[in-house]
Amino acid sequence: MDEDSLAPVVQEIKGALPEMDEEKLREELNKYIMYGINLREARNAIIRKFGGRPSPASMGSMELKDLKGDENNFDVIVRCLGCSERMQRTQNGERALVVGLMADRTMIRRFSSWEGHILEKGRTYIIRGASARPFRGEVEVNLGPYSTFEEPEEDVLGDLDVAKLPRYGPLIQVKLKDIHHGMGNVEIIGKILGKEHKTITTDNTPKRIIDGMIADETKRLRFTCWSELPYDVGDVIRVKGAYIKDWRGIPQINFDERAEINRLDDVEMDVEGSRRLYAEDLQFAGATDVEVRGVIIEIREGSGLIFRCPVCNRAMSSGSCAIHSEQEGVPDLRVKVVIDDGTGSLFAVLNTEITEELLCMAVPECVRKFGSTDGRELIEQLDKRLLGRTFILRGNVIKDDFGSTMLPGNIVQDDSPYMDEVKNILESMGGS
Amino acid sequence: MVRGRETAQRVFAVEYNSSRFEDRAVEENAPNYVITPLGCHVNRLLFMGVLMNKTNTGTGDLPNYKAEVRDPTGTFYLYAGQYQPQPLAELSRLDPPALVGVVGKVRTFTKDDGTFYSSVKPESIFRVDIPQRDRWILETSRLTIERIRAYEDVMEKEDPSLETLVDKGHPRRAGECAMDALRHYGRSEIKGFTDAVKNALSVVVEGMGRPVGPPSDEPSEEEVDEDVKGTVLSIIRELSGDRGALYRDIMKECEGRSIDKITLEEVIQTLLDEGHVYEPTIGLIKSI
Repeated sequence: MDEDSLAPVVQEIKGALPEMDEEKLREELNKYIMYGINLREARNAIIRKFGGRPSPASMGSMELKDLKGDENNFDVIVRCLGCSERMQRTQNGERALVVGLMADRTMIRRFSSWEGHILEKGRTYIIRGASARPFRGEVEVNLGPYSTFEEPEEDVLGDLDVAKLPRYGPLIQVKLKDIHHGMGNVEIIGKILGKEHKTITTDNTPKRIIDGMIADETKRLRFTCWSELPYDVGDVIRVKGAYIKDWRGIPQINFDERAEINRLDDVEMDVEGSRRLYAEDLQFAGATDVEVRGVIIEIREGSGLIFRCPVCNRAMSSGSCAIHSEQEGVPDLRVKVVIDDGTGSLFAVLNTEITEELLCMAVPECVRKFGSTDGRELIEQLDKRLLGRTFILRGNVIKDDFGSTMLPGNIVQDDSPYMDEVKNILESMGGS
Repeated sequence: MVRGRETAQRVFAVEYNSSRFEDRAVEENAPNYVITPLGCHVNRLLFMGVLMNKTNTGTGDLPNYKAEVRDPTGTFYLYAGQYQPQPLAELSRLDPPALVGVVGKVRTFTKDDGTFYSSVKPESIFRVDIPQRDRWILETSRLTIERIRAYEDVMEKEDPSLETLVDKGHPRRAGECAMDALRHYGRSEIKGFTDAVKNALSVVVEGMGRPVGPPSDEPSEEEVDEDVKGTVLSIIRELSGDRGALYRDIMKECEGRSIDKITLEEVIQTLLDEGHVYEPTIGLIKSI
């Protein structure tokens, strides 16, 4: 290797180890090279050997579309399209993580920072010392402790039309059941089960959107369309370029004028089966209007006759609300259960109507009979009607930090005949 | 990441009791799992069967119940103490035989010679009827067959992987079980479990709601020699201190009289079933 190509590397090493003699560094570098170590690794090894902290050599200016996910030190000129900070659990406790979207003339990408680098929405930055990492199948720009930010004197991206840019990440074809939070560019095919127009206000300007429900054979999900949607309930559509956001842990499909939407006239889609899911599919993700069949294996504390705070509607304990202290409580009935189908386990809260039906007793009657008791008799009745029995629950599943909770709109005990299925399985196993 | 609530696994007694490995938590508050020969990781389980007998091994103030619940394939052994108030109260009320459902956590014990025992620490016990029990058998059969099929496929492959199993159409959960079964047990004989499922489903079809005998690879009670039974019983009586006789002492004594280990286990099971002796805790046998 000739001296000329080594010189800049020696300078770089010298930059990280200012006390060292340049000649000595050159010798060291030559030794590594002789053993067939490449320049970058040799440079890092030498810096580490003499107690320095290697920062990778800058790759210079990059465009977002060219990032592969293994770049360590490059510069970009981007506009921030928005970012937010949230707490993230890590092995070392909770840490703040900034995540956002950035765009240059080539595309939009997600970025993240553990160093609290909050960029301002709409501003253009020259970022030096960024790195790129693969994240959930897409490349994400990471802003680290050595990244620097500078606003160019002239907004070189002033005329950037973000709406014309492709979304970040490669287009991924997915079934609805495989959709999760944070996916940036998906292609889905589904049947519209419902849609309604709404007007919301973003950035002080009213905007007309369409909210609805879409389903394929595997699942049903809510969608929000931020542009026109000239298709109706019952149509099967293909959306290329949708992105996914979470609402209370339920993934929702979003798309706008950037997405390519067409109706598929020749596709039949049976979405009836998509309602019934296994508990394992819901344990870590919310869903809308789904059905689970499982055994109720536990009736939890706080079930039966409860009294709610008249101010905030929270359940009170011994005549006192956690927020509004002592109150004349409003009586209500509910059951908190655990339903388990052998693949997973879900909490579910059975509402007033369902509980009244289970007990064959309305709230006022319940208060008359059990209002002055410890309520144990009521729980025993619920035990008898629920525990160890198979039920089909239908409703929404919400997800928060404590896991998933189902809020069924109705529940029915599964008393469908089972003998035929037992015989069929026996037969398929070659008899007994 | 939130650790989800542990699923109540559906396994038949024969699969659960044949387990030889566990995944013990290193981290604090992390769950323990029993790993069954079909690779099911069990921390919590739900089963329904016949409460065959119960024994209060505690005192009046501090009751302690040992109970046996029989499904069509074998027996689940339950131990409930003061920290299981609901099961304790329910067991004191129940009069065997009774059809019950049990939700419980795994409880394990490894003898000095390395023999592994899995029993159950109940979280709740409740009465069930025959249709409920039948539905449990059906669901447990479905999930067991799923594990069996995935394991059979794993055994056929030179270089099996979870992905190829999923591609072949196995549910991911069954594929994971099969890979874990292979990792822990290697390539093992599982025909007994297929027979057990058939047995269990036949019980539903017969609609008798009665428990059936253990699967054929376990000895039936008639095979136990009456003389050997008498000998073992007298050994237990001789060795019994206040708390009973240690299993390994009984075993040593039996070796001297050329009763082998397998026969001894059969005999003791028979003595337990017939009520001549009981097991105050695992590893201790006491005559009545």
